[in-house]
Amino acid sequence: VEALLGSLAALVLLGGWLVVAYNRFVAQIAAIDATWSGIDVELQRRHDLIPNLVATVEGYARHERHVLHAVTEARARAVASRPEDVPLPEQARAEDGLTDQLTRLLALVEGFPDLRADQGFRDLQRQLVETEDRIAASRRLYNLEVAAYERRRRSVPSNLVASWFAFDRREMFEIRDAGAQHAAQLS
Amino acid sequence: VNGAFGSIAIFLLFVVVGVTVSLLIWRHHQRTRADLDRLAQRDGLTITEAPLGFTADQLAGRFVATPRGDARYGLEFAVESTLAVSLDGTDRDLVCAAFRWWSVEEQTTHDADGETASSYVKVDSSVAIVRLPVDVRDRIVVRPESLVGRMALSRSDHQVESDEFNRRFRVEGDDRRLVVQLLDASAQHALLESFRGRSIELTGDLLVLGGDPSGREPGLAGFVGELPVLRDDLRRLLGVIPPAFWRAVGLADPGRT
Repeated sequence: VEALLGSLAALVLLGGWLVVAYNRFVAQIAAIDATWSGIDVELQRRHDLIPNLVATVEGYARHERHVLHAVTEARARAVASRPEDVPLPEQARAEDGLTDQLTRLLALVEGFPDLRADQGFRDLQRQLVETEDRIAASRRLYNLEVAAYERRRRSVPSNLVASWFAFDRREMFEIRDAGAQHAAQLS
Repeated sequence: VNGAFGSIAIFLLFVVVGVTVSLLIWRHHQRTRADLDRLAQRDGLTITEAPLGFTADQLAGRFVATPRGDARYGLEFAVESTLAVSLDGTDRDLVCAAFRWWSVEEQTTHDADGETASSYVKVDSSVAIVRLPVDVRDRIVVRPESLVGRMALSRSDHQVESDEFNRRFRVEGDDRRLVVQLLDASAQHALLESFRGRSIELTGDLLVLGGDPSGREPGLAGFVGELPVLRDDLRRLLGVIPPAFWRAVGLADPGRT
């Protein structure tokens, strides 16, 4: 009887641990998804700001069509890379490409004092940098959640729960800090 | 007769020791006061009873660095001045204050028989406060991690990328994104290098730095020697705060503050 009770107690303990470990994984996945949505919202906001920025610059520097066109193209690529089935490194590359083109655009503005003094442009530029700052912070939060999840997914004994219930690998999101890059060009 | 003489001798010895100790304390206090006046004159500091307008009663329990203790607390050697700093690339003069905060903590111990005994310890620490040109909205506290946290038995606070930082500091704040904007890689490194064991609190338009300063100025008595170093520490701490944090709280955008 004692052996039976002992086995029963061990089973209950094992079951309890399984439930706790599983629920922690579920909570971590939820936290990863929540932080990702934080990035997604800010990326969307950045994409939304760009047409206005391009239009404002175009009003002063119409002849710099190739730079403006390159920004529009890079934005289109970044927007096209947002669906969930696109791998994260591909999304990151598209966003970095957009950052490069925006950097070129903002460098171009240096040569147009009237544009730099335009309040509408200044507001848009500031909004862009603040949005990019939020993207950088949200990216760090997302990567912190992914790192904690991956640590548990690979550690013994929680790796057993991860493999039994197919908790898949999550990738980090690595993009350059566009806010820091563009803040130097704030008018 | 010998017994009476012995008692009188012991009594006199106690009186002499008591008077000597009191005299030494009084002289040290006088010297500290004189040095405070000298420092105030040299560095253009204002000696005050209410640093940044806060009385001891208003400070007690308001910040991590100014605990209420068992309701016995106070501040000493408070000075105020302006601090020239560069925030997000703009030079600014901020009003700051430094002082020593003391409080009495009650410590309860239980013996084997279940009896409890209370003892009282006077705890004092250095505090520096600066009034920021912007309202931070959220309250962020970075303070030394407890022993349990350091042993990784509890991780209920915000974690950042540096494991060493997570072991050394406990980070609290409602807005997690603002917390990571404050603690970028270089801020984590700088706090580990120069502010280990100290508390940093951002609340409203105030930044409060608590704990022992990184050094003291020789030639100034007692706590007064710590005051110039406290101001330098405050300036260095403000320099550590990343530009992205200042942008996030709207430092360059007066319409938002």
